[in-house]
Amino acid sequence: MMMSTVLWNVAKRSRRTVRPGVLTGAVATGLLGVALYQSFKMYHNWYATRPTDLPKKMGAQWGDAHQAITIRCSPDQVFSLFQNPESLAEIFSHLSAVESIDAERSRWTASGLNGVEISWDVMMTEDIPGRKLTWQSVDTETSSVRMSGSVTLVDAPREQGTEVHVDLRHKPSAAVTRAGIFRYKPEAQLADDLRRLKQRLELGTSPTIEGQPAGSVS
Amino acid sequence: MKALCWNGINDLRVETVSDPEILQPTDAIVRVILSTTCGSDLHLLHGFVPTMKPGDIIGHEFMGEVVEVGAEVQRLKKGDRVTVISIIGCGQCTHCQNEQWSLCDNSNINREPLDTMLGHTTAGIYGYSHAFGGYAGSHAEYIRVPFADYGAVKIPDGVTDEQALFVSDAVPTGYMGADLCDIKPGDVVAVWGAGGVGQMAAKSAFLKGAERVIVIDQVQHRLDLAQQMLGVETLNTRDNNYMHSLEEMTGGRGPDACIDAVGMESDSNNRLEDIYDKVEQSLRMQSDRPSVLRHAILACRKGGTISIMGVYGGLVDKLPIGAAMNKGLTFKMGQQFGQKYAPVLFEHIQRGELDPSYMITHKITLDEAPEGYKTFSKRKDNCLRVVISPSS
Repeated sequence: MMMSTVLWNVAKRSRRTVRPGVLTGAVATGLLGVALYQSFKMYHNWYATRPTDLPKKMGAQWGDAHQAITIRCSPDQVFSLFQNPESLAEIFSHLSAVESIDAERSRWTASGLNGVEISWDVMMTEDIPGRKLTWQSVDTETSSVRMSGSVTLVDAPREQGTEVHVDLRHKPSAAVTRAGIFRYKPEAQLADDLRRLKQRLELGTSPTIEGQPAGSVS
Repeated sequence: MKALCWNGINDLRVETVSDPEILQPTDAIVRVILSTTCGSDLHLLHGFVPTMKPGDIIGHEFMGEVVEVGAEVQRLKKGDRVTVISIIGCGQCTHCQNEQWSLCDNSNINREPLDTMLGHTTAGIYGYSHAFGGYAGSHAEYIRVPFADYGAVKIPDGVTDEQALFVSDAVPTGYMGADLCDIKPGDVVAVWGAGGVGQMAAKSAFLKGAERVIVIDQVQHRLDLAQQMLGVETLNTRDNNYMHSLEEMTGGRGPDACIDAVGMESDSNNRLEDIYDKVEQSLRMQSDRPSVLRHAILACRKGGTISIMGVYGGLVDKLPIGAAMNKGLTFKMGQQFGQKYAPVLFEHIQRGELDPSYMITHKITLDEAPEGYKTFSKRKDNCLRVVISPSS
């Protein structure tokens, strides 16, 4: 009702110069167009996941990622996994290996595009048992990446376990910019990694459907 | 083995596929004795649930016999007769521990689809698209049951296969719909939808203490069945004055609780509203048609409860949220927590207070399943539920 009053007033004022029917029609069509566009856009955003998106779009990428997840276990259980260099490569799917150099330093390796191996040395900069770990890359001749990261553990309320907050930042050198170490959107890849970690700690394994029966078309 | 596979919109085929195997030590393999069609399968058939893949085995509501158990399964053994809850819960996450089984954090193997569509990922469901985990469904001779200790519930003695079947989904869904309404003695409960879930919601409302239950649908034979089997009052939405009749039947107050047992493909008694919703749906401006929900909100008593058990998938338009807010309505909803309700439901069945087996109107073989879904979808031949017996 209000909309039609507005349109009528606009038409009335413009009567001398433009035929009201034409103006009203034009305005109404424009508004309808905007409404249709907005409506379709909202639908599309919701409907973003279609069968063709599974498996995820592949592509070599660099990027920062920040994610949090709540896991039903103690902070110490999560902390010991992040503290152990070997298990870091199991947690973070963009890493192919993490080797200990000494008590504070480790070498992190990732496979970039076309199997290019990218390594960088990492120094642990903060180690608060059961609460927080931070890392920073060390500038050496072999380092091709500047990287920093942290994992922060917080007790979740009502004994729901431990909140795990992970922050990863990467700055590749010019030589490896095009290689990329993430296989899909870094935020999504880290979210998948943390969900797998949650399944590992809560279930001891990740649920699977690999090997189940399906019809011949798939 | 033979299985019913989804191959596209309204394209179901019986195919020969490999037998399921134990993939994880907490799995069991169940020989399917009975597996039923469900109204929510129609959303898959009609293409309203994204992430189906050709070849997916459908079916999620079933019972059978355990034929093999994984090394870590403790509560089941070969030969046990079980009803398997259609929604998969890991048993270990916070939600499962709180008996909110359909909110399981871990059972859905795919994170991204539901994180994108719902904001968070919910539980896996058998035969219900890859957004819900991509688990092979139950319209097959055998099925793999993950987290079997939690999802496969032993059927007590004295409960028949036909009675136990619907404890997989329709009964706990209906029961939860009534449970969420916090029914008090003297309450009048209205249930939209006289399909399997609606029938069981109506029955459960009585079990929970409702004085009167009014079932609303547009299919007369289903209303007649509900009246005959459950002692409910009925309203047919083909009568254009049904909302007025509902108001009158409740003394002008409106029902104390309204249960939506229809969901995303509801048809309105108002032709223009129906056309509007279908046009918006086809133009991809909304994914779900919410006319039942609109009517329930408008009909509900001030301060009453709306319980949504019919499945919605995404977005709806023109929902009278102003009515809901100003009337102080409480909304409760969710996919069923079958693992929580199954024991109490079996007790009701054993005491003779509940017998869901009357909902089986058609019993068919697996080879007849594609035709069976047509009968079910078109509600032909007074159909309420078509039940598949894969081993026959």
